[in-house]
Amino acid sequence: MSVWVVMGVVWLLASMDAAFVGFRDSAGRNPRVDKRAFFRRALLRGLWHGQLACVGVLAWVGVLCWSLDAGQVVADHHRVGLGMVQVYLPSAVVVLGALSVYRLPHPDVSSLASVLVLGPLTLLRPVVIVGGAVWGLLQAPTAATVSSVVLATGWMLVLEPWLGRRWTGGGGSE
Amino acid sequence: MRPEISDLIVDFDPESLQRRPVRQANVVGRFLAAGNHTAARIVRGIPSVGGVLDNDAVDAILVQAHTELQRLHEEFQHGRRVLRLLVPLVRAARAAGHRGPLRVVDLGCGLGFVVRWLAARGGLPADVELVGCDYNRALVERAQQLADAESLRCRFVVGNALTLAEPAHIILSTGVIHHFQGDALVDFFAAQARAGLWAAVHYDITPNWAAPLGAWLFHRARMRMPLARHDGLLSALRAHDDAVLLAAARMGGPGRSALLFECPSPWMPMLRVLRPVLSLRADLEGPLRAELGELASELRVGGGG
Repeated sequence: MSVWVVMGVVWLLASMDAAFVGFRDSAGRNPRVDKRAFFRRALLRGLWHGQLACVGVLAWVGVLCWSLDAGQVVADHHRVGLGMVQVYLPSAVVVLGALSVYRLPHPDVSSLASVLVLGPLTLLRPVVIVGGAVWGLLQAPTAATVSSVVLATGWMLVLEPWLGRRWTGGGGSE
Repeated sequence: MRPEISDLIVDFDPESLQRRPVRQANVVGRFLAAGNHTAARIVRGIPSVGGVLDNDAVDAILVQAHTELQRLHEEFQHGRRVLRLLVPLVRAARAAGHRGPLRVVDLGCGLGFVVRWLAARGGLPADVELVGCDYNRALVERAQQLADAESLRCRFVVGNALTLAEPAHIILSTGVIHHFQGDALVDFFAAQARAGLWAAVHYDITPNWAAPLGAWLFHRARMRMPLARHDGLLSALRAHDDAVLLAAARMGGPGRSALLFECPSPWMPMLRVLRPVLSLRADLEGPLRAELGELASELRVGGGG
């Protein structure tokens, strides 16, 4: 995979994860039956914060390129990104597969997706994020890549609590 | 049997349904005596006035906990599951001779998710009246607000579902029945038999090897409030097994049919987190089996029956 493809895949995966974080942050907050508009806003809110994270990390890599050997920085980040994709992409495929199964109109089948994948993976998300970061860093462990990866994963890990702050003043629900 | 926090932080006079004051120290002491320090810590964190738990604070906590609980019901498509049984039940009651409007009452409805979902998505005939019933006024008022906000054809009342001025024909409940233990469980079914219901359908967690782990995992992953997490896990541990439910239903309602529906497979019990016990007028069982069609094979009269 070229640098641009790795960048695109990482950006896509981060955006998807951020949108799901937005959904999860809003789930269980609104007791109406029809919440489609509410969840659309939640997905977009997560997505928007994910874009901020992506731009922030990209800007940091830009600073590294400007202050260090740009070719080396790009090459190291390429290898790290590839390693991260090796962990995050299968995880994303599993989640998307489970969501497809969940959409099937039979309660038993959708429960299967929830019980075996969606519920457990919610708890495992921090492990997957950190695992992907560590695996990526093992491919090219330099001070520059460590700083970028810590920034990126830190951003993803604090995203949910950060989004959750907006509920604390209103009793935690709409 | 270990109590849930929500069992002890509210108390109602069973006759007048008036709220009784609950002393925080008593509740904390009870949990400490039972060795449940987590619950004691959670109750200590609830605001109190003069040592008595603040009703408004308790209500706010319960509304939020029920909102989080609704998320689980949505994820496991509980409304759809209830509908799969309710539609044949309604048709069976008509076939068995019920005339006029048919009132379906959700006992202990909380925020009334099941009733509101049925009103919004159920497509039930216009002469099926959907009512939610709970002792807690704050939950009932919130449920009615939510129904009004979405213009749903259902209503919510404070009271005992079995003694309503306009009596129920079919009673539903979700996550209620494990709150009744021992003789109280038999009495609960006896009261339903005396009320002459066509059917009582009580959904609760299916106790099995996977239930405690599943309850812990999902309450951890999906709920935020310590009270909701605590009570959710405890609900799984307190749930009655099939034999206890069927025995209580038969003792409480002799002459009625006691059945289970959509019991999970022992190999994949996590697919059906909730399953109902049914107490039916005996003359309803035949029409119900006919209306269920292939799904009638999901009815159980006992171990594997």
